[in-house]
Amino acid sequence: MIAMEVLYYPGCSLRNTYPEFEKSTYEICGKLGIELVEIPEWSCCGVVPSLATDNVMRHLGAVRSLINAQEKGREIGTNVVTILCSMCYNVLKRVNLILKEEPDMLENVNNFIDDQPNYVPELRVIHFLTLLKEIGFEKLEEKAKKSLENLKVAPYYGCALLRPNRPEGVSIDNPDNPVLIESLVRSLGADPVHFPFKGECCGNYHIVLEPGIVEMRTRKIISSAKSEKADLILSPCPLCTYNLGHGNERLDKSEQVPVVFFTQLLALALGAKSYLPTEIEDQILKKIGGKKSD
Amino acid sequence: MATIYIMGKAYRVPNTLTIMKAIEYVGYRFIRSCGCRGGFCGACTTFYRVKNNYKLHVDLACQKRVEDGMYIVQLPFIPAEKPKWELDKMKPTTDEVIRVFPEITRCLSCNVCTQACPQDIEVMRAIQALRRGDLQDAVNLTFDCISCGACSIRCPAEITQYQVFQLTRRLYGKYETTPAKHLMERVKEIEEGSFHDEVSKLIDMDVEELKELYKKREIEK
Repeated sequence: MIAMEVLYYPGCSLRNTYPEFEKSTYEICGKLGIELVEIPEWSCCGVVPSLATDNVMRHLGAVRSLINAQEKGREIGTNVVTILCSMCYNVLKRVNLILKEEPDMLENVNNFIDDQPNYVPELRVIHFLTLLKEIGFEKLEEKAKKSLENLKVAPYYGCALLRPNRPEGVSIDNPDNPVLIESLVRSLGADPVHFPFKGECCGNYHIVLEPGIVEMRTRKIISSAKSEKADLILSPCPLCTYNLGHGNERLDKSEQVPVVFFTQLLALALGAKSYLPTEIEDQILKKIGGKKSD
Repeated sequence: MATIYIMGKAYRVPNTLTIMKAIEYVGYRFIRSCGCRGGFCGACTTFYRVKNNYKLHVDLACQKRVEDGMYIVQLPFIPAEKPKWELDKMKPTTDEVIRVFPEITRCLSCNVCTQACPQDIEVMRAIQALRRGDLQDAVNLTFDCISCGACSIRCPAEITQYQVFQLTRRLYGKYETTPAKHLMERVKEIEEGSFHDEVSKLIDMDVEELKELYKKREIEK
């Protein structure tokens, strides 16, 4: 067991729309000895980071959550915040970087927020995938109960985990050819397929007003995975999952590829509750059949 | 004595008075912005600043004592249309609340709503609880809301928080709490006409008789 406490920011979409993402993560953490300490009274991250460099107002939700994290972190002795939703990760990571790099902005924000302690930008905001990587994928291999051999997966990254790239920046891996999720699933015995569309945008919030754009984009992504005979697309993002699901619905049954959260597959491999739909879990078990190691 | 400024004009008033009493002391007569005088109804919402402080304060005029150098104005009415909802057709979820009040998602987390609340409710925290999907937290945080509307006047996202909380509490009350037994019994009694005769007697009584009865009424101990 690793036995560590990490601050955890859930996010609204995940909490309200995709509880299986969060629940399967708690299962994984239980198996690995990671205790997720939910940031008290976290606010909505703001959904999209403001692109105007002086727009402090748009970042207040993120800053308030970081302040709450900072206070809780001092209590339990950690400065690491982990996030599951890739949109929330993108926003909080970027806001944290701005506050680290721009003293004027930090002072501005701290002056405005006069009802909470000042933010001292010492928190480290990392995606849950980065946390797993730092713990070491070999630890996952040790803990795995089921080998995922014979399972072909298409690891999807989307935009928010990869862009914008800058040194020590937002991207969790090489933004042009990320291989982090590939390494993760390989350590569990699965076979990541060649997936050139893994960093392609799913269409994002166009789903609201121009769903046609999402359909066009997700068709490319899904058929790329299909042409490599992927059994599953692994998603790290509630919105991408929603959009890819929408794309699947517009395709013939024979062209569809089921989309699951990477944490669900990982939970299954660790012998924990995966919160996968029964039908998909059965398909996976059939595929890896007879490989149950325990 | 204290000097206060009512809509810009200076007055000397005893500093033991509430804002409401002070306004009456200098000669105004309330025809609105005055309700229960007991801190419950939210009609006398008053905005003020004090000298050498940038903060805009909100309090109930009937509850807050005057301070030297107060600049005071009362809001007679909060402009907001109450959206229609049908509780019977709704589910007790935060999504339903957001469907009626989509502007909730515009919350910037600036927290001026909380700072404006004369009841010390954590208004922003309750709005964020709704975003987080936690209906119960929002209900518990806003039980003391008197719907004065000060939060909604200050909100840069133009949310009418007090209306949001009313819907939140009603949804929760209808679907998530057990009905109070004594209340159900009383409603049944009313529907069966148990109090009909007594009410008719009062209606038919002449004014003097009614006044006498009022004076002799049993007062709750």
